Amino acid sequence: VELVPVYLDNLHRSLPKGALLPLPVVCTVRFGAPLHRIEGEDKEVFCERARAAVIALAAA
Amino acid sequence: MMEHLHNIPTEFLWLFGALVLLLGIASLIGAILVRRPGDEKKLASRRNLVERVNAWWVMVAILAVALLTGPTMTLVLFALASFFALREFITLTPSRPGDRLPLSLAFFMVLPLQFVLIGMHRYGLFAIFIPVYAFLLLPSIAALRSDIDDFLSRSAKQQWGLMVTVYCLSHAPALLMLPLPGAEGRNALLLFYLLLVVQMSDVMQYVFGKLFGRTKIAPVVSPSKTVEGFLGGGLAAVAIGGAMWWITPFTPLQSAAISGVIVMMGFLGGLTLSAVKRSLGAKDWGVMIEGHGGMLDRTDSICFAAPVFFHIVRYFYSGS
Repeated sequence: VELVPVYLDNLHRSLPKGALLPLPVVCTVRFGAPLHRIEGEDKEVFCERARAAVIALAAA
Repeated sequence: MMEHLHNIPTEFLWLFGALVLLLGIASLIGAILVRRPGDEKKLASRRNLVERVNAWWVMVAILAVALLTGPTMTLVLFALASFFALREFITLTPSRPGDRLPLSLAFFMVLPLQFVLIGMHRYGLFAIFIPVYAFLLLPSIAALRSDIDDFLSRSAKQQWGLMVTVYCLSHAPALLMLPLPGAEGRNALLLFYLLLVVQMSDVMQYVFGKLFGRTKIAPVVSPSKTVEGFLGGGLAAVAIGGAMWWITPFTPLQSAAISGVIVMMGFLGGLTLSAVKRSLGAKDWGVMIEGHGGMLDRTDSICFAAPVFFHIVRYFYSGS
């Protein structure tokens, strides 16, 4: 199984929670490199690594 | 609305034929250039040239369809260009929750209405709708939401966006509603003339700048603008504009002078909007048109040239 980190940029501006109408600002979808399981890695560490991968995409 | 165009198709066919020939030559040169050896920097700039020419094919095709189908299609085309330009502007502009309603109104009410007013030939309302009503009411709505953080800077940025991308740009298709005594039904040719001179000026400044550019005019704002590029390209555009007098109500000399004004305003538009863009922290407005950047990178010079050209024609040639 591969997990691909995806970051949706500007979506919170276009259609925040509770908004009726989307604001037509330019939104970008960024895909990162697929994450593979590392043998012996536990759930917490993996989630932390996945989170870091998404955050890295946000800064790109 | 189609009768506007019935007496001019021959001239349009000649003009678009000439453009197709010009682009064909440009494509040929591009195809030869990319095959020649060179270092990475040269190759990248040649690839950019080919991308730009390809984008020009698409833009000329869209413009040809719109102009030949009539004023309604032309208005729709410019409204869409306006929409994408405003979208790029607002994307780079920081906003707060209180701005959502005024911004939605700008996109979905002010923008379409501005172009509808042109379609209805309401010059009086067209000229003041945004400066009076939109500029006073949109910030009022934001104020009513009592979101006052950075209020002045937020609303100033939004007004800049609306002014340049909607109000200024809409003056290009507004040429279609001007009465032209002695040149009735030739409005679309004037719009063609404006776009031709502005874009030729941009292209020629780019070419002259690449060939002879040494002295940068404003290195921080726009590193590609040079004195040599501006003078060479500007004069070339004035010569082309002057030679196109026969599609306008102008004499050859007037046509050259008016082209000079268009070139100057286009240059200032490119420079000023580049400063705006950089103060918003970006290098290009967007990625919509391959090789050119965003919609606003391609229309910045039209935004400044269109209102001035419109009012020159209205004041001197419109009999009003």
